[in-house]
Amino acid sequence: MKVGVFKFSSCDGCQLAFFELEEELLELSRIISVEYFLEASSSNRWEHFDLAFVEGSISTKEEEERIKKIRESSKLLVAIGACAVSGGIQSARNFEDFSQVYSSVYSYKHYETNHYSKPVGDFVEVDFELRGCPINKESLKELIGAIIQGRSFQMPSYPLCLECKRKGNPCVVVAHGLSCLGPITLAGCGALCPSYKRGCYGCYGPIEKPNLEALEEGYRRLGKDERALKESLILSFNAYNKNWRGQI
Amino acid sequence: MEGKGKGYTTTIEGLKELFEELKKDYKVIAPTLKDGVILYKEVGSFENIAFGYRNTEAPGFYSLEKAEGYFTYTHPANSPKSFLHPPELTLIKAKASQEGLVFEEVYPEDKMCLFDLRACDLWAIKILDRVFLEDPYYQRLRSNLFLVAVECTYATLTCFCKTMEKGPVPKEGYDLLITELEGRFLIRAGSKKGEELLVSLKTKREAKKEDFEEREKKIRALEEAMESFFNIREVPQKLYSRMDSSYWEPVEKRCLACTSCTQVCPTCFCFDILEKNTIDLRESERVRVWDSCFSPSFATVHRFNLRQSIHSRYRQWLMHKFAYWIDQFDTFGCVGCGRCITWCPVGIDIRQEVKRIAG
Ligand code: SF4
Ligand code: SF4
Ligand code: SF4
Ligand code: SF4
Repeated sequence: MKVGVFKFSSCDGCQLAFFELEEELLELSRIISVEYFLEASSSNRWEHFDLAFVEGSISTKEEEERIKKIRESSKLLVAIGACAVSGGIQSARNFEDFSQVYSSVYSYKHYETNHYSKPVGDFVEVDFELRGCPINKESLKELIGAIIQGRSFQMPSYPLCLECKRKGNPCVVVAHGLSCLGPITLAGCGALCPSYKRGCYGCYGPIEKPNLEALEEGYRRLGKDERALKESLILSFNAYNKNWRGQI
Repeated sequence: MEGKGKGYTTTIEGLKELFEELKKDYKVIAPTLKDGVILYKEVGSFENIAFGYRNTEAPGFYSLEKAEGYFTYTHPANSPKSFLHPPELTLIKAKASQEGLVFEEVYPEDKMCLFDLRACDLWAIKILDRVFLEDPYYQRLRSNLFLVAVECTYATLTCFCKTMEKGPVPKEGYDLLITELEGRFLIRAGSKKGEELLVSLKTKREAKKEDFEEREKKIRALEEAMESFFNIREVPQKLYSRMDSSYWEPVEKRCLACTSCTQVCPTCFCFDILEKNTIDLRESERVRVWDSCFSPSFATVHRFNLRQSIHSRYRQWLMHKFAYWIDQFDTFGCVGCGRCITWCPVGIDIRQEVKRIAG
């Protein structure tokens, strides 16, 4: 099985999950051959891929062209991480006036870049998504296993709270008055933040049909400004996720 | 039932002696403090029990402070369910070998003592017994269980065991029953196992009339102070006549479908089965994990979710607890512990919803 790993506008963090697959490496090397992975190898070939992993959001014309070429060369395409799935932290600019954002960083026109930072799925068809900022090794392993074994990919569709409760955590909202995006965030991280007495900040992105109205009500109840909720969503990695469109 | 055999009184040292005795044979699970919340956990030492803490609870609110006495709190935030129907339990392991696939059923072997169980949770176990009647995994854990119940002398704002007719006085099902009196404890046995242990305790004296009178006064005071929220006898029929969406739609705007209520509930039993295998397919595990009727995949059949709206999921949960459960298991699915009210991150109060819909 020919595999390619590609990077767009992103921090390279998700690709590191591949290096964590140490235990499985031997077995995997029998089944897959990594043809293209700039971060891992200096010899790279781009012909045909059975499986392409894409990290990063699409934020330049060059990237728009490149992602289409990858799609044409690949049987299955997987978007990995909040940038590829939702547009990433850089999509915060999608909610602002672009020229103002640009000029607050650069004093002269230096880079050619799109006004919007968008998820891969806005340009090409995506077969699977791996959520997270960064993704975790377990979900990567599960996906590769499912593809190799020809079975369905087991991924949560439920909110983080279920995972948090299975871990036995008392809710940080109730016990400590913290704000937590767990009720509207997809599970998969193992409830990392609430396990350390911190509210979830949504790095796995929204569940399908998140109930923002109810969460706003919850924020008001905690005596927190609901604008603070919108801001924390907009300034996060998953603000431009398709499940949020039209809501924030 | 007021306890079989005689009653005894003892001191805190006597309770410690009891705890040490239990520890010889059982893994003792008791209320203990974790990050400002009282939780059931395995405790190694008597001193780790959350004695002298008082929990204040309200819809979506929990806090703790110090108080005079020992059993000054109500039930912990988690429930016996976490131990009898654990959130993640491996059921079967499979391995590839030269002779083909080898299957191994894995049974939990723990011998547990639940120390300090309140009336509501005692009832919850009785309900789980009916649900998991033929489940060998549950039955293994259940048959080795020793139950030390404690009578509540305090209730929080979310406790409504009285309305559900499940408390605050534990009626049966315990091995030992403790009541905290002024400077001493009344202990009675509810089973042969309990009786034997109680008789063997060194630090005790036979209870007198005054001890029972003091107990009676304390218990009645709490019972009288607790509010009655609705008449449960009328609730199921009324609910059946209010299935129409219009009664349930108001919840759509308030409920997050976060699943928390079902997870903290001591009787909600739904689970999912996962298969976890290694990439080389040489080993596989079948794991049972907690699920919830609020989860979007719960009513999904052939990729179509039969309960798309949040209010239809809320209806399923409330109707199950207060109506369908009776047809299914001949008991309400709710014991009135109030955990779902306290631990709902947006403070939805099931009592108010029952009153609103079936009122
Ligand atoms: S801490 Fe957050 S994720 Fe956990 S139950 Fe509470 S709201 Fe849900
Ligand atoms: S009632 Fe509360 S705890 Fe239950 S799913 Fe709705 S928001 Fe979550
Ligand atoms: S429905 Fe709520 S009050 Fe009733 S037993 Fe479950 S958690 Fe307790
Ligand atoms: S619901 Fe009743 S039995 Fe349970 S802790 Fe509260 S007062 Fe005690």
